[in-house]
Amino acid sequence: MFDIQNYPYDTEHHCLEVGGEAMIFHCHHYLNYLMRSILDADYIDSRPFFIGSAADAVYGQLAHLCQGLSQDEAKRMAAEVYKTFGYGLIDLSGMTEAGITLKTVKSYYSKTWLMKFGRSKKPVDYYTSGFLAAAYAVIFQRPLNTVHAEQTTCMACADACNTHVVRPGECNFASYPAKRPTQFSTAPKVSLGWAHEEAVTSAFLGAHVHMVGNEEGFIPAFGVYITRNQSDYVNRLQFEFMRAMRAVAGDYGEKLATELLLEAGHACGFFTYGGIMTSEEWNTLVKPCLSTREDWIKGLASLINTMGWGYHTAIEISRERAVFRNYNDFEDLSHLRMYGQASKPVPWANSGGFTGLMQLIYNTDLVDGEVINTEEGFRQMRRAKANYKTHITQSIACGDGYLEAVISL
Amino acid sequence: MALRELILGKTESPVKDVKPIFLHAIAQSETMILDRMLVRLLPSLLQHGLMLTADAIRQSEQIPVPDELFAHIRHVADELVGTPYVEL
Repeated sequence: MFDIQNYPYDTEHHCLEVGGEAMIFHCHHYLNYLMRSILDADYIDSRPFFIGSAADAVYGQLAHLCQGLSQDEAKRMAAEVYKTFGYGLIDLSGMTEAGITLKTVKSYYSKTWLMKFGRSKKPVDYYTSGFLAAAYAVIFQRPLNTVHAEQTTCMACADACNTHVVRPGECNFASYPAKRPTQFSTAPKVSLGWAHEEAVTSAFLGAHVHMVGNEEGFIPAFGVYITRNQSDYVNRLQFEFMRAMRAVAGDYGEKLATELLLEAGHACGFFTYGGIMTSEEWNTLVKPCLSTREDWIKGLASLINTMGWGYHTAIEISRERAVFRNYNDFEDLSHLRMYGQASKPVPWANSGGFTGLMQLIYNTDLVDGEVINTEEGFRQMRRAKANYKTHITQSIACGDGYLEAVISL
Repeated sequence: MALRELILGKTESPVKDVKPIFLHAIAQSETMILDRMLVRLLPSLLQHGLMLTADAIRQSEQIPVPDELFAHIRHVADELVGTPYVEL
């Protein structure tokens, strides 16, 4: 019923939309680190925006995808979307006007939280609560703000399964105003200027359609678990966290939050890019084109420009300092859709990702075949080597033509 | 030293140097543990008029704080680091 191949990749803007929602891949390192950073600030009531961010993005998408479908068809559609995107498995056949008490043993968030951090004290699958609230509202044609959603058991807390309860009632999560249409930047792109860029990009264009949930509803790829996320869901988490931290402590709160948001991107870049650059596909199709460490960076950019994260390019690269750009990065576009212009740069994940890439290329022996794919390896490498600093100099949400980040020692 | 004077000037209650707890956290935990601790401690730090950063912590020789803040920082360290801090 739902087939990702029906949604064409936008090769001009390097992005993908499904049912009116921009979609982006993230790995479990990024998503869990982001979630834990927000939960660390336990004086912020983050549960409403965790669930609300998911519910808002999924509601808009499912409303679109389920148009003209019967209730049973819409239930199947929602379950297939959930599985295809890598969130696990849900069975919505028992959902009625009264809601649903849904149990599942296949949950991306519960599984990968345990993998990364061990046992949690509180349930962690806020996304699925939001997804189910949105699915219920769409299928039974109720306003989203008349739905109540909560997770009552969680495998990350050592429960046998995850349980989510969704019912009509007082809404217990945040709701948001309508979003603006996507405004792409029209700034002329500076290309990578690498002889093999087109060949590598062409080789991987369309490969993203193979990244769909397996029989368990998970997408293991490049040594990490990835999900295809509604971009606005993930980015709203960042923006709402930043807003809350600013409300608590102004510029100081913003500074503390920024460090952790950059680090989430850093971990993502390190593990995911590291996985890509040690994959069979990389070794077969990209590695033969690489001579220098700088080639590795350009090869990676050429490949990931087919994944929906915008157009990555490098203006300057050396071991000491690099200047990266992204034309139409997902965070800036997301901010413009949901909050309009920003007074300060917002692409923390993208910029942290560039830092992770520099760390991989210049602070490990990845190019000689060394693989660091464990938390402990990551930690030791960070301790042993000089760390790169990230400085975001341009941000589309601030009115600039592109994201630009300077990564330096 | 400026940090010490700043903190000592703001309190009349007994103070203790909290730097060893931060050093313990750095030694025992992940790269960004100081930033995580600071996020968790934010309301308490503000209550004591402090705006510590990870860089400032690393650069300070001593970080004297009131007893009650010391106890809270120690509690947060124990929770986030997972290995209890043992006072020498």
